[in-house]
Amino acid sequence: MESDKQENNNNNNNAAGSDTANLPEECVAIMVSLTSPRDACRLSAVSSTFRSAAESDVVWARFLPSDYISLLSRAVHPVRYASKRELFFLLSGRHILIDRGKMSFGLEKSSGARCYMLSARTLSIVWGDTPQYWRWISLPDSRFSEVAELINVHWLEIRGKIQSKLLSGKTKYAAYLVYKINGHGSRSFSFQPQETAVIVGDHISNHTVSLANKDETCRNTIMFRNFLRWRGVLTLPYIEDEDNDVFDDADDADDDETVDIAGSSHLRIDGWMEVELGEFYNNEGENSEVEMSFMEVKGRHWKRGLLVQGIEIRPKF
Amino acid sequence: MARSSTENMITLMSSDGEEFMVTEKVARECTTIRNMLEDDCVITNIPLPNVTSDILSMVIEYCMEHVAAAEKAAAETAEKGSSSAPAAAKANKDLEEWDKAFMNVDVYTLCDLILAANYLNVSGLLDLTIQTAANLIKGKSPEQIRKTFHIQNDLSLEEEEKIRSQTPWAFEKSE
Repeated sequence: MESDKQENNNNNNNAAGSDTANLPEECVAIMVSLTSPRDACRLSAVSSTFRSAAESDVVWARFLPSDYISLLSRAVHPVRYASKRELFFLLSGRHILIDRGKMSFGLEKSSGARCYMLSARTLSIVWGDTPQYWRWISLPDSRFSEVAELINVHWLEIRGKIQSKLLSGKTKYAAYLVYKINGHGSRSFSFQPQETAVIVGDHISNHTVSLANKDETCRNTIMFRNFLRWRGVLTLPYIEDEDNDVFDDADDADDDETVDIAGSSHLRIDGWMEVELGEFYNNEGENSEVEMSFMEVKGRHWKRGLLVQGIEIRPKF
Repeated sequence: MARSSTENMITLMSSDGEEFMVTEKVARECTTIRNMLEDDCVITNIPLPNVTSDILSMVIEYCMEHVAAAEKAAAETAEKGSSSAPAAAKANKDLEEWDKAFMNVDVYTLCDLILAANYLNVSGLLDLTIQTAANLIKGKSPEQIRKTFHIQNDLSLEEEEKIRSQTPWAFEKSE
């Protein structure tokens, strides 16, 4: 909040020249439409002319996506609104389900940039169709009708794709895995960090993350190394070459007792957790495929208790 | 299109009684005047009671510069059969630079230019002046905007409080 609040009565009386209070509302509206949604909200508080200009359809039509009519036609539930401003706040308040509930769409409130969440059903999840490894359940706090629940896998691999032309231009985006960990899941994610990536053309953004809580990660990393050492001693003659690599890596890393976790997870307001998979800058007028992935295939231990709602793509500031 | 052989001159009269002689082509840059000329082709003297001489001379300066740039581009195209892309890009850039320098004015002049461009309907000048004003208000607080543009706040305390409470996040310091 600005410190020089309320100087309403302190207007310097410049006799010469005009001021913007004399500008026609339509000119002020165009002026406001050339700023941003955040600016427009602030400009409402300047004067009554600015207020009515900043609330007009001229302004908010400009902040809505140019193809908002076709986006709304893909909505699962009809969207009703009385003004463009109301529609903007509706879409920036919460996502709407589109494409028969396979994904959701919304706007980032301060910039009006497009945001999407791809449901777990639209992602490619290795072993996702094998009921003994993954199952599909419905949860009341998920926006999608189905979420994927990990029962048990060695090979954890989740991938999603989106065309960059669906996103807003000149905007820095990040992709997030939206998940929950249930039961003893946290433990099974603490032995080995997970690898994430966002790839757009030549651009690659990676993170090493851990869905487990931190204490558990440190404790179990040490336990896991001890386990490998023990297993190595007992079963060395039968270990394949690849397994030897795992064994060596664990030994090499022994100098450093803590795991370097770049990405961290956050609690969302919808009660789910999210972890950043990577970021990218979306140029104007280009179209490439944005590939997002979340993997843990090195640990070779069984992982369980992960619930995946989807992958969200939204601007990053 | 080549320039017409007989160039009509039009006299524009400002609110303070000053007369400006311009070519019809320059005058036609103002859609309001173009419409008058199309309704009544013998008109040669147009009073503009809403525009002062200071501002009118600036509007004319803008129109002359843009007509000259368009004529130069048309002449080059006619001469070479087609316009060369680098030359056209450079001409555009020069005109942009000229516009930028032209917008180096105080806020009062800027607002008067917006009013004049709106009244005379000079779309290029209206876009330019409004964009310049928009750049001045981006990222500013309501207090700063009132100060910059010398606007009196005619909202009651309750009204302003209501506006601020609708989108409190917009009034926090932006990132």
